[in-house]
Amino acid sequence: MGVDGETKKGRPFLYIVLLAVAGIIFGNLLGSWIFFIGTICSVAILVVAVGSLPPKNLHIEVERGSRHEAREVHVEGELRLKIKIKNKGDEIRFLEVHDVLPPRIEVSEGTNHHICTIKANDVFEFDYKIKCPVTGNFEVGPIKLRYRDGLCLFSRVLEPRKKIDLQVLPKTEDMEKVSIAPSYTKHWLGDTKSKNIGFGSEFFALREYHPGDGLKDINWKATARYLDPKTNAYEGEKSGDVILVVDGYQEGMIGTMEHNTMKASIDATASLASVLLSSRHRVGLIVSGSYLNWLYPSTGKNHYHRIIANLTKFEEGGGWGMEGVKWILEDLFPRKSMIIFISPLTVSKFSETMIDLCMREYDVMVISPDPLKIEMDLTDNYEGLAEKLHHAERQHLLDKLWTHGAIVVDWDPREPLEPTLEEVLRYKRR
Amino acid sequence: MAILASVFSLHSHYWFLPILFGCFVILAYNLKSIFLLDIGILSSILSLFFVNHGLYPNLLNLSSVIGFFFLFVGIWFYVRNLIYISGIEDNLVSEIGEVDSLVSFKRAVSIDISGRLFIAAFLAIVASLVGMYSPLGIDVSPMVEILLMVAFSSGIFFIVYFIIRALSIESSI
Repeated sequence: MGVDGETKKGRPFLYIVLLAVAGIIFGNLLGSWIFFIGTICSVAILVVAVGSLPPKNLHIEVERGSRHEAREVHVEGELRLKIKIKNKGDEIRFLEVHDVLPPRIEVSEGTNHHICTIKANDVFEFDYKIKCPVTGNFEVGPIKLRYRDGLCLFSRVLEPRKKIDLQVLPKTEDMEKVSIAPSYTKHWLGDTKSKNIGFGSEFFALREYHPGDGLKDINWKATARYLDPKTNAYEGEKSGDVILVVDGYQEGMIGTMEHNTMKASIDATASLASVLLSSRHRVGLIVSGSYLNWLYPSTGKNHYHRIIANLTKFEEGGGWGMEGVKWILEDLFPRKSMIIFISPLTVSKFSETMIDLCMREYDVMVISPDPLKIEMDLTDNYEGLAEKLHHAERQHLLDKLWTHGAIVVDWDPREPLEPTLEEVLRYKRR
Repeated sequence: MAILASVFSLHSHYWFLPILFGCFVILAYNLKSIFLLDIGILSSILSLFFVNHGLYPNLLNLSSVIGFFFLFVGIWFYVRNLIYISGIEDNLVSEIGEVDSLVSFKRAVSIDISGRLFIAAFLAIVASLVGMYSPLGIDVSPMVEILLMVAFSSGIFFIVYFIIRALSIESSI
């Protein structure tokens, strides 16, 4: 790999030249030998400095860890980055290596900035860990290389190289105990009891024996009692369609860049997608942020990755009205799907849409990260009265949604979602 | 270092100037400001020359002035590197608090600076001695003195010009 860049003179070089010139001028003006000595000394430094010029044969190769290294990391997870520099030219006394990081990525162990000495045909390696508090697609690098001499008189910037794309994925929560079941199931197999006879494991009813029924399905006790062959019929376990709708309105976002309602909503959506897909439901996604982003319901691991990728590139916004969301739900997505809204309920038009969809006999669930809890985490100076008012207003809205038939989960984002969700679902089943 | 320079300059009314500008250097080190450091060191060197400009030219004074000059310059380069390194260390996240490469850099750079400055000081002493014991040192008429001064200054200017030119050619290789 070739090396570009020109040798640049540093500011000290200019100062030394200035000292030399000043010595001559003041020496002449004041008629003093001492200033000329200053000039001689400055010139001597410049003469010696020629020896610290960058080597003519600069040939460096840079490698970034292994090629198969994962470029994906979860929010607040750590990723180790390795950098290997091979010197295929003459010895380099002082080589500065700086792996440039985007603003939101932090170094969690070690450093991304080194100065090293590499002998001819030698290798310098270092590694460090990074972590990122927000989701998104980032570009790590390029690796900037700069030769510098000890006297700071010369430097040569080498061609920057080796950028990598880093995907910071939302944090997912393991929610094994949660079982979200849509009221309407479709004809394909799943884990949700469909209240109809079909393939399953739960006993549903007895029926007449039909030729072709398996021996293990024959109910021998009933057969003996009725003196007629009877077969067990099972409750069919099927799956349904679940649409996750994320509220990405910037005007309703509460908190800082690192800790806000939007981040909580994204993390919750990723966790829900994971649990729903593992229950073999088809999962769709609508994100109403800076652009209206949607994924048609589907199943499988690939679809999970598609959902995560969509959540990762998500940008808050709000240019899109709720009409777009309603249009997608009503005209493009399958009918009788379960709709899970993930919203802090700070934007009134979002809440109105939810009520509207409840009234249209949609199966609606609302998971709402409480913005007040996030705000309380960030500041100690909040008005008690304002808190009470906000709480009352929020409670009124949640009650209104309950009244319209939605399942409402009032979630404290500082706590895991699973216990709260499980409690609400248990209450609903009663 | 500045106090030492001031003690050396006690014969002058302005003996305090090196101490005054030395304070800039200490301030620069604490504030980690490279610009302030550059200004402080340059002012200290020029003030040292100014305060001692009436000094009699003999071997002791010559070596003292050269010694002070290179000590100031050595401190300048070393502190410059220290400030630069501290900027990197501020971003370092480590339980040990230091990185091998930076520790070895500090050691290597101090050896590099002292080595190069010793050679430069030697060259400067030789050049000054040659200047002192050459015809320039002989008493001549004021007219000839001015002419010699002009010739000497022009010579120095040419040397500086040639060095810069040589370095420019080097950089474009």
